[in-house]
Amino acid sequence: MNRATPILLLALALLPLLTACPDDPYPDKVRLYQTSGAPPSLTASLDNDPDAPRLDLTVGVAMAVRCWESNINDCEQVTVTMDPPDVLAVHDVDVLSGYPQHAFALVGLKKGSGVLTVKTPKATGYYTVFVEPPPAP
Amino acid sequence: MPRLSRLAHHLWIGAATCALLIPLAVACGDASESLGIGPPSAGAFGQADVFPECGALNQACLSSGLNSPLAVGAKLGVGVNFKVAGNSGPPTTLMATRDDVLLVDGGVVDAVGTGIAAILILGPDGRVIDFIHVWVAMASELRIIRYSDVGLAIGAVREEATLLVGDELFVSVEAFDDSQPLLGLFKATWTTDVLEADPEATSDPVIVVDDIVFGWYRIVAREPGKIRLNVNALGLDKTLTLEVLP
Repeated sequence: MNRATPILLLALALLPLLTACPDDPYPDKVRLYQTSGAPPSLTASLDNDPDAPRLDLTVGVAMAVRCWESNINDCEQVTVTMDPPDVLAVHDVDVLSGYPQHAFALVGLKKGSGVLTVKTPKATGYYTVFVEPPPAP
Repeated sequence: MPRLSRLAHHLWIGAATCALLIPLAVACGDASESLGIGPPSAGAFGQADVFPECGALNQACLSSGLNSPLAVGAKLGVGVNFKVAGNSGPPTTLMATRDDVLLVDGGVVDAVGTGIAAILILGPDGRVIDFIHVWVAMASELRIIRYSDVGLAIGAVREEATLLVGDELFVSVEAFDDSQPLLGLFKATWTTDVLEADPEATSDPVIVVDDIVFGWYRIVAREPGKIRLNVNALGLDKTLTLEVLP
């Protein structure tokens, strides 16, 4: 064993640790944030629980949301899609001030559930969606 | 003039000017009120304000804008103020999120069922610029509101009242739900039942004329006598008994 061997062995031992360390302290993730409230006695809520992100709406109610990546940046090149599409409508918002860059109006269409997918080049987020019927007149 | 005296003089002129201007400001109010436009409500994204075009005088519309439900069966013109510096308002389309509650025809919403719907304001490319929720409720009561000929609300007309020949009342028929005023314009149908009349009279004691402004009516006392007026709208009736004195 020459003098370089221990150093080489040490480097090999540390290599897995180095690859495990993230080079970005903020892992890439994408989230929607609710910016409008629910009408009285109706539902419009968005829960960013990391284990079970969830969105609840009443039929006919619209919710304003903004998209953020890694908690610090507006989303870029984001697409938001609903499956099935007849439960919740996703409307792209024309942000006239230029900030924030991406916002959406989500509208409950009919009673049901599904998955809302928020996708950017860096990350993808999923929300379980529940749309409840409007209260009886 | 000593300095103190000049100061007092200027203060007096300032106070007198304010005293003259304050009543004018109070009397004029918001300029939008005189145009039959209600106060605006902010859209959810803060990019546009939405306001009702009241048309005929209507207490709910003029005083609280869209902060009242629409009456089922009524229509309401909706205007949009865009809050984008450096731009005029773009070509806009309105869309309701529930067609069993609201139907949209151009800039007019038609309240067709109870509940709530959002009105989406769409820009030229179909993207949403803003939205606002609107409630629709069933009217439970009609009130006949008297206005002065310059449009100032005087109050609700009593169910039994006395007029003099030549009196002319400007009124609107307004919908309420449990004392909450409701928004919207609707057609009202008047019928009359003459209770007492001069046999030689050439006219009923009172006639009701549709004003040229939709939703506004003129009740005109023509001959001595007594008459019962009934107005029907939104599936509701309201009855007045009027006696006309010579």
